[in-house]
Amino acid sequence: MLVAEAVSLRIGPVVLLDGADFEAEPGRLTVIIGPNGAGKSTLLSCLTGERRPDRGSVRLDGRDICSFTPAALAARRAVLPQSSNLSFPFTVGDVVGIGLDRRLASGPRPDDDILRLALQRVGLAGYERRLYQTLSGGERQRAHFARVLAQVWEPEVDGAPRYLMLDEPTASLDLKHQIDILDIARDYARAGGGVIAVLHDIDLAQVFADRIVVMKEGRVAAAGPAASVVTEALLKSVYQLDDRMIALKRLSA
Amino acid sequence: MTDTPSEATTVPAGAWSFALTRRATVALSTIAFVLAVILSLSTGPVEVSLQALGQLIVGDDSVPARNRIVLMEIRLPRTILAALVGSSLAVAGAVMQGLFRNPLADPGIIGVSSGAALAAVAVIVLGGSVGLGTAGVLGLWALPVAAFFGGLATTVLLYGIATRQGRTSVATMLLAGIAIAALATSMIGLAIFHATDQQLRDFTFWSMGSLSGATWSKIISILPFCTILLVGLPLIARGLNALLLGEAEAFHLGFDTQRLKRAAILLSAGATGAAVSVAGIIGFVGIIAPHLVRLVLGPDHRMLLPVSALSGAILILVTDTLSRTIVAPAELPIGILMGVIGAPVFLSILLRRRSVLDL
Repeated sequence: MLVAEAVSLRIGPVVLLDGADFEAEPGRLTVIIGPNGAGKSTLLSCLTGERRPDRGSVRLDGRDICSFTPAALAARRAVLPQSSNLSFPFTVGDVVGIGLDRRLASGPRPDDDILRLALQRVGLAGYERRLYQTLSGGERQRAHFARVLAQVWEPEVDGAPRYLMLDEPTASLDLKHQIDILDIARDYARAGGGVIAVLHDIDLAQVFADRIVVMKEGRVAAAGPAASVVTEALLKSVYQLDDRMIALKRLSA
Repeated sequence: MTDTPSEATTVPAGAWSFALTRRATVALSTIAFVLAVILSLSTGPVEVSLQALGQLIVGDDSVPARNRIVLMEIRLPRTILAALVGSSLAVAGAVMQGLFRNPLADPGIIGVSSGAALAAVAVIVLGGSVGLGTAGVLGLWALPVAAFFGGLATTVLLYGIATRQGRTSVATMLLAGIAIAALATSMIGLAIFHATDQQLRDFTFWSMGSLSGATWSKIISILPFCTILLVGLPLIARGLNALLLGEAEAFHLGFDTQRLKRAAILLSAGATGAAVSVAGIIGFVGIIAPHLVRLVLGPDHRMLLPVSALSGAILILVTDTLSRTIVAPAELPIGILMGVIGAPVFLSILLRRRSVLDL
């Protein structure tokens, strides 16, 4: 169980998080949505242990996330960043393998198998020896997703669930691959792992999420089961949509 | 999107032959290194034949005394020093390129060598008055220690300037490097302005780079730095791989990024300082050697760092042998020769990467 309590974070005069509460359970796909600048990515970076909140706490199974060593954290969760740039000629296999170098993937499978399976899972089977630089934007994103999957391949190790934390995993993907990625994420949750994803697309969120957390201005505006949280009233207030835009959205749906 | 990989964009080898490539490259570089050492030992105004070399190594006394002295007191120290300087600079370059996530970082180009040289020059000038000089408490190690701190301060400054919120800007790094190098060079110039004739000779050596005047004591003075470097490298190689993806990513992958960065800065500054303190500023080694290794073996630091050390040593050994033979009996400063070879290589990397560098 990953729990954030009253997390606040500011950089200079800018308040990024203002007392946000959050929880993610293993076995569930928890999606964070909200307008631009609502603090979604900042909250995620606190959940990963990358940033230490000014106030409030983030706890993984009851223990302060900042008290874990980086290596211990890496054995419990993997993080897919919004974008990565890499200016060295690594092969796809190298990139995915970086997550395996520390033998974090404790489990029955040898590393090479995990690498191959992870690439297969994201639809990049046989790409091991391709140079990362020659991939398209979408393929790069999927290669990184494979790296993240490989890092915590078994959703559960010795009864301790592991977490996938995805910051807009679908950003540069076409619709089919968006759905593929979220399918994989949901399967990971079904297998006992925890998944936290920041998504832009409310419709995708409603289809895939078990639980939706809606953020606005550094706070959590609403949270609950996917089916009941997203209402017209909420959309109006959080996204500041007027009736015209709601009608448009209903039309497109 | 899911088309099968075409041959042109694939590393031209299956897994088994890639392992073979690695092994072959290590073997070939080792052989090349041995050949370069023999070349360096046997070439010069006094010819030392391979046979005489062999006899000297096994301790045969029948070799003429003159040859033995030339070899033991001049060529051997110079060869060892050249190998140490070459591998230190190459490794310093490779580590900095990992740290800055950019293949154009080189201690000579981004001003780290200049910072180290400035500190060393300061010791020469001020040494006599404040007792820090070669006769001071640090004795033999005053110059390398000063050069180490000079290089360290420059690297920390550069990293601080070029990195904001975990992202290192290439343009800022190169421009700040130019500024720091210019500042250090004019400070060295200022020292030259006030220098005596003898000091003037010493300073020229810093700015152009030279391995003449190699002695056993110089080797001993940089040996601790080189040893620490060799011991430290394997500890940061995997971390540097992760760092290539970004600082946040390296943390997510389980590396203590602060500690990793600190170790990388210390090691590269130490290596640069050691090299600069005995050989002055020799640019481009830190770019050429790792670049060539990456072309063959890829950017994995676990292979890149040790093989770069070998090829940096080879590069300096061969260039140094050239520099003392092409205008014999005079000697060309190796820094000049290195620049002639290195600048075109640097430009070619720049041209090929123009599109991705985002300058």
